[in-house]
Parts: sequence; C-alpha cells; structure tokens
Amino acid sequence: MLTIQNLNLGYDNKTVLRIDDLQLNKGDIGCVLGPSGSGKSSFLHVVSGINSPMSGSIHLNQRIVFDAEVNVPASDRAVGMVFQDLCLFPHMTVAQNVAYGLHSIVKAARDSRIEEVLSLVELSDFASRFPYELSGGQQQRVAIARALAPRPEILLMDEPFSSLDPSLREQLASDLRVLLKKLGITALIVTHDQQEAFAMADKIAVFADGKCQQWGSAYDLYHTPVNQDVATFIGEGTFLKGQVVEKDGNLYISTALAELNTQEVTTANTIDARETPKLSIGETVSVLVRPDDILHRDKSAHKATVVNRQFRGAHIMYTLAISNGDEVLCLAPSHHDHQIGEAFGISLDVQHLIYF
Amino acid sequence: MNGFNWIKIFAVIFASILILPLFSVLFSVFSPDLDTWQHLIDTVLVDYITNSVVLALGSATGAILLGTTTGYVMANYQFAAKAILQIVLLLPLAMPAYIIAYTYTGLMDFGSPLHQLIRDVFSLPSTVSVLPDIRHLSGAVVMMSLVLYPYVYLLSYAAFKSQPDALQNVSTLAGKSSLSHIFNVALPMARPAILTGGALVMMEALADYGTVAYFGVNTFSAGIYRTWFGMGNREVAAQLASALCLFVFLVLILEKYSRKDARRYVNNLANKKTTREVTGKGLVFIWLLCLLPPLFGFFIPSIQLLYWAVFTSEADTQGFSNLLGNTLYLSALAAFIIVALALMFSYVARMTSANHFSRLNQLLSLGYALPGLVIAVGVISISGWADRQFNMFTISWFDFRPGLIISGSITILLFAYSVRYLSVALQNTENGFARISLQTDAAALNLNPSRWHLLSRIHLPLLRPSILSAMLLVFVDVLKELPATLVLRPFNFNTLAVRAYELASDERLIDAALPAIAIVGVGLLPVCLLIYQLERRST
Repeated sequence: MLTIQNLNLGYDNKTVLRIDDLQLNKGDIGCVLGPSGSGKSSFLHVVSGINSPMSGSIHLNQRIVFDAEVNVPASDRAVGMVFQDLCLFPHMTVAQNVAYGLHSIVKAARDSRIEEVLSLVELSDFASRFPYELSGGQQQRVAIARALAPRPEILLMDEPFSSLDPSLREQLASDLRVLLKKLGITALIVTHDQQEAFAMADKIAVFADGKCQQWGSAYDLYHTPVNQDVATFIGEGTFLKGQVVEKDGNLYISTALAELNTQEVTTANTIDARETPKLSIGETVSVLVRPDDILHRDKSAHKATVVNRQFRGAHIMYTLAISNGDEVLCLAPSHHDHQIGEAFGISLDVQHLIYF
Repeated sequence: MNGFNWIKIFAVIFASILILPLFSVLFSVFSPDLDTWQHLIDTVLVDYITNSVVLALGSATGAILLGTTTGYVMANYQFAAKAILQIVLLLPLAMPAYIIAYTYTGLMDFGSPLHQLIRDVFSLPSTVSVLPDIRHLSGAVVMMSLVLYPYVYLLSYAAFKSQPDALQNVSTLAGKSSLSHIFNVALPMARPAILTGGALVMMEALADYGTVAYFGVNTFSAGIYRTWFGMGNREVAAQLASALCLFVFLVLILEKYSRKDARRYVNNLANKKTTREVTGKGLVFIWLLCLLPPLFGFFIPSIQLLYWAVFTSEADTQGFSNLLGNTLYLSALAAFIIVALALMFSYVARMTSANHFSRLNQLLSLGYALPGLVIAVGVISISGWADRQFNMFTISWFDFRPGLIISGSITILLFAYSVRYLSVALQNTENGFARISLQTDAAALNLNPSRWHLLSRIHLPLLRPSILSAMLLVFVDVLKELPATLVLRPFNFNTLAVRAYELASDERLIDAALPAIAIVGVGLLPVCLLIYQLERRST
C-alpha cells in the first residue's frame, strides 16, 4: 500500500531524517513514534505531498507519487490528513467542514457522502452544529470525517490526541483503532506516546537520531529491539554487564544473576529485523533486562535490596540493587510488599536474550 | 478598614457625577420641543441621518479594505525591510482626521502649486480644474479611512497571524487555490476581528466633528453644533445628541457581538505560522501596496504641513508659545486627574469581591464611545444646573452672586475630558492591577495589615508602567480633542487643536500648519509606545 524507499528528508542538502525501507500493508495501522524534533511530522508532510523530500521514492497503492522524476501534487495523491490540533474551521458547521474537500462532485452525491461519513463516526445528529459546541473527542471525529470524506487511499494523522485531555487519550486511541479497522482504512499515525502507539498500531516505526531505527510490531520493538537506542526508548528496562564464556561447546553470557545460554533463549521469537552480533569469548556485553524478566523468588540465592518502589495497583515496580551494585527493575505482584532497604530473593528469567 | 470604606464612598460619588451627563442627554428626550423638531424633520433631519450612516459605513468599509489587505500581507509574507513597514503602517494613528482634511483641501485647492503643476505638465489653461474637490461626504469618507485603517490593520493582523499553517495545508490537500482559501477560510475566520476594527472606526467617524464641519457635511455632530449655537436651542441639541447616542449604541452592540463571536473562534491551535518569502516583482508589489495607505494617510499631509509651517507661515512665536503652554498645561492636568480617578476606581473594584464595582467601571467606560459633542451637551447642562443652584444658595444666604463658577472655567473642560477619557486610563490601570496576583496582596497584608501601605509600597510601584502609559494616552487624547474643547473652553482660552481648526475654517490653512504639525508630533508619542509594546509582545 505505502512503500517508502531510501527517503531523505532535509533542507539545504542537509539530511535530517533517513528512512531506508518502510512498507505498510493495506488496512494496516502504522505508527511513527519518536521524540519531538525527530522529524515525525515532516515525514507525514512529505507523504501527503505538502512538502517534498530531497530524494528517495514513495509509492501509494502501486503508484509512484514521488521519485527522482515524479512529484504528484498533494491534492492529487488521494491522501487524507488529520492535523495536530485538528484544525477544524470554526466558522463552518460540522457538515460544511466535512464538505470542504468534496467540491468536485455534484450536490446530491456530496450530501449523501456527508451523511454517510458522519454516520460512520456516529455524528449524524451533529451535522448542523459548530465545532465549538462539540467535545474534544467529537471534534476529533469530525476531523477524521473531513479527512475521510473524499475517500482517500491512506489516512495520515499527526499527533491526533495532543489537544485532548490526557485522561481520555488511551480510551480514544483504542476507539480510533476499532473505527479504522471497521472501515478498513490504511492509516499512518504520528505520536510521541508509546502507550498510544501500542494501543493503535499494527506496526510501529521508531524515529531517532535522524533515521528510522526500526519498523516492526509493538512486540518486536519491546522484545527484540535492533539497537540500544530503541531498547532504551521503548518500554522500561536496564542493562546488565555480562561476559561471554564457553561451556560444553555453547556460548554463555555470564551475568551477576545468571548464566544465559545464547543458543537456547534467543531464537524462539526473534524477528529477522535484528541481526544477532557475533560473540567472541571473553568479550563484555550489555544484556537488556526488562522488569518482567526479574522474578520475585524468596528461595533464590540472589538477594537484592529495594532502592525505590512505585506502587502501580496490581503491581509494584521495584528498583533493586544487586550484589555487584548494578540496578535492575522488577515488576512484582503488589502483595509482595517490601519497603525501601529491605532485601528479597530474585531470579533472572530471560525469554528473549538481547545483548549489545 | 474604615479608610477603605471612605474610598468606596468617594468612588460612588465620583462615578455618579461622571455618569450624570450621559443621563441628562438621554433624559432630554422626555421634554421634546415639537416645533423645532417639526422644522428639523421638514428640513435637515433626513440629511443628518443619511450622512452620518453613510459616513460611518463608508469609513468602516474603506478602513476594512485598507486594514485587512495590509494585515493579511504583513501576517503571511516575509520580505526585505518588513520591520520598517510594520512601523510605518501605524503612523496615520497620529494624524487627526480634521487635520488631514484641511491639509488635502489646501494641497488640491484650485490655486495650489500641485494643481498648477499638473496644469503645466498637461499644458492646460489656468482656469481648468483637474483635481476633484474633496469637500464632500465622499471626501470625508476617504479622509477617515486613511487615518482610521490602523485599527482594522492591528486587529486583523493579529487574527491572520494566529491562523496556523495547518489550515492552509487542509485547503492544499482539498485541492483549493490560495484565493479560495483566503475567501473561504482566512477571511471568515478573521471576521470577528475585522468587524471589531470596523466598529471602532464607525464610532470614531460618528464622533468626528472637525472634518464634517470643515467639509460642510450635515451629519449629526454638525447638526448638534448648529442647533446649539446657530439656533441657540440647547434642548434640541441634547435631543439630537441622544439620537446620535442611539447609533453609537448600535455600533457598540455590533462590537460586543463580534467580540463574543471571536471567543467562539478561540481554539487551542498550536500557533505554527511560517511566513512565505517574497522577492523580486512580488516584493515591489507588496511594498507599494503597504506603503500607499501610510503615504496618503501620513507622509504626504505631514510633509505639506511641515513645508507650510517652516517656509510660508508668518510665525507668531509669542502667540504660539502661549498656545503651546495652555495646551500642555490643560492636557497634563487632565491626564493627572483622570489617571488618579482611574486608579481609585480600579483599586475599589479590585478590593471588593462583589462585581458591582467592575460593572460600574464598565459603565464609566461608555464615555469613550460617546462623541465629544454629546458629552459637551451633557456636561454643560449639568454644570449649568449646578451653577444655578449654587448662585441661588449664595444669593439667598449671603446676597452674593458669584456667577458661573464651573461652566465658564477650565473645570468644565476637565469634567468633560474625565467623562470621555476615563476609559482609556481605566483600561491601563485595570490591566496593571490584573497583572498583580491577589496572593501578592494577601502576602503583603499578612506582613503589614495597612491598606495604605499595600497601595503605596506594593501596588503603585508595580503599576508604574501602566500609570505612565495611561497618562501618556490621556495626555495625547486630550491634546487632540476638538469638539468638546471648542464648545466648552473658557472665553479666549485656546488649545492647539482649536486654534488649528479656527485658522483652517478662516481659510488660513498655511497659518494653521504650525499648531497642526505640533499635534501630529505629539500624537506620534503613543504610536511609539504602541510599537514598543507590540515589539515586546512578539519577542
């Protein structure tokens, strides 16, 4: 559906963002995740045709919309866009807002399309209202309806929840996913919030340090990050120092908490996006330890001292100091209630061995 | 605490005195002089109404055309030396309409050097008139538009500036042309701001006396003056004034409505606005477009006035320095009194939790919307009544007749100025007070319970910038004020504005140039203050 190859974004011949390869299938929801200033919005503007990239190619539905020779103008790309802050026209009714992009069809067809789109977003009763009379969530649905009305092939959304109350965002994010899936819309959504991305996306691109670091499912990003940056950016976790040793012909990584067999644990769910680095005996590596990799086990020989604790309802997130002074995170059920300074037994149970 | 109650009482007394003139004008309708009214209806009333309406609507239309175009260009494009245009566009604010009116009359007069030059260039006989006579209603509309467009420019500029790029992008994706975007999105979204500016222009146009009197256009203000002094009928003048008030209130409602409308349009749009770079031919076009209004609204008349003042007028240095002294003294005194009153009113409003006093302040602010002549009519009937009562009192008790104490003195001028310009000062002092958090007061009172201490040690020092700008604005407004001063001034007491108007009316245009250019020069001060404040806000 959307295929991006060797795309370079920037100005004055200076590349600001590079995307080597990114493909979004029809009907999928892709999220672009990254810190502010990582070029997420510029990327959307380039896909939509509002701005042009320096080089590379963009295909939309098997049609070249940008490469070295072609640059299809924004209005001919069949792209719908929902802007940050929505940008509804305050002087137009909901119906007039939705009709704005429908100028090239006859009135009867236009009216029925408005009705159709508004009923899709469940706002049929609000056609003659003005945007200021609607709640934040309703306004957002108007913005989506306006973008969908001309039947775009792809819907682009720039920080769709940034103008909404934070307490509503997670709910609206999953509502949005349900709506887009129901309509079968291919969408590309920019956000800086992982939880939003996890709630909505089939695939997520992580933008950082001037390039697209990884493009994969939420599961891949969390459990098999391609580099230390993605590992740090996505989810919580710490790194444990380990040394590569050989035992019975297998390579193990020896850490303060356990010896990890590199043959046994890595491959199970590994996606080919990640190239496992070659290990040499005696080398020191950093092993990614997620909070769910550390288990509370009273009988364990490894004792850890509570440095900090964060109560999260069902769970408590402990920051623990282990024997060699390193710190790890442990997500323990909240009936394991330990105060700062207390020690308890832990064990390391790694399902996906990730080391750098 | 007792001290504070005294201030409240004073505030109520002063407020009643300041509101009385408006009521006396409005109540005059209950004692109609039917014969005179019949005469007015038969002769000039229709003229008054149509001319006033055409003047107000015409000036607003002209100002909206000039102000919206320049506001759009300045908000959306980036080009060489834009900062200069940003200042220059505001300069006509310093030019009173009656001054530009007589300057252009002199400039385009049949015998003027410009007129002669044009005849010479086209080798026409000296009896042919090629330039239009501007002394008509349409001329007045043009004059008003040229000096009042900055109101619309400032408001529409801010409105266009707050429209983020994303709005344009919505239109681009929808395949709309830039022109279609301007007319379907940019302009409608700026409509409340543009209408507010237009309403301000209409109020100024309805308040004008100097221009219409000089051009001989029969508007309400001209009619009030003529009925009062020509027919000697102050009652009917007051009734005409209350009819004029009706128009002003209609405009006020329009203004209030568009401000309310504007509040609906407030959205939490992240204001990412990039301006498009313009060079080459576009640059020249934009410069010409934006330079034309200030060129005709400020530079051409200023240069003409300077030329007259420096090279041709027979300077009466003694007379001019007397005039200048009078004017500065009167304006400074008025500024001091009015700002003191405004401080008292806004202090009381701040200190009382109930809303009565802030509503009172809103009522007092109405004065600024009223034409100077209307206020003059109201003030003189109040002061005449007060003088009569005082004389009756002294005659019956002391057999002494002091004569007109208020009516024939500077006091009545100060009274009228207070009614008209209190709102200017109030705006500044109220904003100043609003910037001081109520918690600051609580902290100060907690450490030292004296309210006097709070005012003198905390509020006044913090309010100094607001007080200074209030004083400056009132000072210049009083200095430029024409109709009320003309009507109410003591015998043989002249200000720059009145003298300039008198000389111009006597066809002594060249001699009027010196007082006129002095007014324009002083009028530049608040424009500088405005530019400074805008600069500070934008950084």
